Amino acid sequence: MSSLDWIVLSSFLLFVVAYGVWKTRGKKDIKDYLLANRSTPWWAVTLSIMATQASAITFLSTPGQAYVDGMRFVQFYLGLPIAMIVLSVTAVPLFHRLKVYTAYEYLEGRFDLKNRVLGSVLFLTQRGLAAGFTILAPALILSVILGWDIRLTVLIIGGLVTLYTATGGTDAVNKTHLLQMIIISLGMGTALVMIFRLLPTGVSLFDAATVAGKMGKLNAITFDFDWRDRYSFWTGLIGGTFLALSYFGTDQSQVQRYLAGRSIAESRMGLLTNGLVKVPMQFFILFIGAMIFVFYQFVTPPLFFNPVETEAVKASVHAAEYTRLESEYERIHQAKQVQLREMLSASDMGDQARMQEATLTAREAQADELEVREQALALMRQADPSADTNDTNYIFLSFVVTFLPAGLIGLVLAAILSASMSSTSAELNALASTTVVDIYKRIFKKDGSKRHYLVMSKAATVFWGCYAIMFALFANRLGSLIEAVNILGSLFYGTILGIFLLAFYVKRVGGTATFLAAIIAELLVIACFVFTDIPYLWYNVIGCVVLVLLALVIESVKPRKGAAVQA
Amino acid sequence: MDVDSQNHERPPEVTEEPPPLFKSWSTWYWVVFLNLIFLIILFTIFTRVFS
Repeated sequence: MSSLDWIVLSSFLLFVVAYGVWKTRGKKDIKDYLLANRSTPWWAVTLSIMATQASAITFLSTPGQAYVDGMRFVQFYLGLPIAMIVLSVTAVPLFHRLKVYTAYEYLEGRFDLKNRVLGSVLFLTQRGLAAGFTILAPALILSVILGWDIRLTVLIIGGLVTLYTATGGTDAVNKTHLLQMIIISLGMGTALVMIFRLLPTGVSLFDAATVAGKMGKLNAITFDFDWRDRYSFWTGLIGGTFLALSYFGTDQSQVQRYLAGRSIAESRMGLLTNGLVKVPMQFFILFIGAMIFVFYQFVTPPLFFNPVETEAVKASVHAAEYTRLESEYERIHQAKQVQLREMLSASDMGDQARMQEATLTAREAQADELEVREQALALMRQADPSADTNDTNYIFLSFVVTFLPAGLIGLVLAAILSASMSSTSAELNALASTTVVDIYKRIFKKDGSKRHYLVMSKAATVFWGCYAIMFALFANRLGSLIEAVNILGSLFYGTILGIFLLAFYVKRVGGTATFLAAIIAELLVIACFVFTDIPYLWYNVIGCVVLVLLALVIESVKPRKGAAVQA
Repeated sequence: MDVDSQNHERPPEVTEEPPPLFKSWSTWYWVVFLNLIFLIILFTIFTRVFS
């Protein structure tokens, strides 16, 4: 990195932290600290919701996902707008009217204390680990690509976020989210413009889209129903709706964002605007990945994007074989490039037959490339059985540091770190709220002063910040990060959603039936994860449906109070 | 916060606040839903045209 990049990156980081601390100093009580005094306008709610969901993983891993698997990952988000509508109708007015601090408070009034604690514990378990992931993901990738010490990256990201989140609470999270979304949009927009500028002379935007499409990377919608298919229209619409309902309706890191809204209307507008813009935004990020794929059709990409693993195999006894595979890969890639140029030339002249032939030959070359890559991965595993052979997360950043000019690298890195900080701050803020409101205040100390709970909330933020940093320091192999985070969420979200659905809509089911059904449903979801190959989006459906049905059955067979007396 | 003393079993009636731009919230819900339909159609055309 050049000194210009360092200036851009460090000045942005310092500005965000200073702004967050300064603008939100002097919080007086827990309401001010955890709900920003319910004074946030709708546009800030939208930005905060989006910034919370869009972690660094989104920007590092999603373009790589499109590079490897095409744009069909966008279908994962198709259920989100539906969930935004449902939550705007149901959860938003309910939470606002009850003036709750956390979503789980509602469960005690509707059911009992054990359901409130269960909901809180499921959230703390899942989100506590996820906070570690959101710090670790960019730290790991930055350390590999830039050669930074991973411990330093983890400590910088985790330390800065904990500082301003603990100081300013929800208000600091919301205010810094605005800045972070601006820098994220600027960074990603600039990256796309640069990719277009770097395409070879004579390759237009339409040509680039043609190449991506013919090579199977613009497969945004796939209607074929196969329940094993991780990302199809149907899994996205059904599983994605359940996941989004659970994430936005029951995950405190999101609920807290719209609870801070000035009114029901402001919170609703925040969610609905997210429903309007989220899918196009993800499409845009995936399109960047597809365009990086096109760029690498005219410039030979590395055989493997993770330089650490590449160096490891080259330092092993398999070095000669790996070098041979690299040469073979280069040869096939050159031949494919010729066919792609032939395809574009035929397309310009409207020669369909010639275009078809060139496309088929290019696709065959692509299949050959993949085969060579598989051989290389097998070599890596032979050299080191614990080698990380998934390089999806490294593709985007590798492109950025290799091909973008000085200054812009710093800007894109600032965008990635912004995304990491925006998600982590919201997570720490929510973890602190749930710990203090649902556990500490409810169970251990009910009669503390406002000042006492404010201090405890700050302490809880620091505790969870340290927990996330420790997790990030000790974990290091994650596979595809965007999937890892979503799989982790899906293990718990179905159950939590089921509890809330019963609470909202099925008045005749009581607390004990819900609690027992929730325990069984959660065990079933974990069994599905361990023992089956069911795609993870279905866990949300399974957990939720099983819980609701079981609770209905338990409620109908359980002895009723008063029945024994009458008998 | 007096959550514990509140009656959660019967949530209070929700009085609708007027949304910005449109007269009712249901119009907004339709806008979000139709936008999703539009995007699905657009993505389908996009997929078909370029593949």
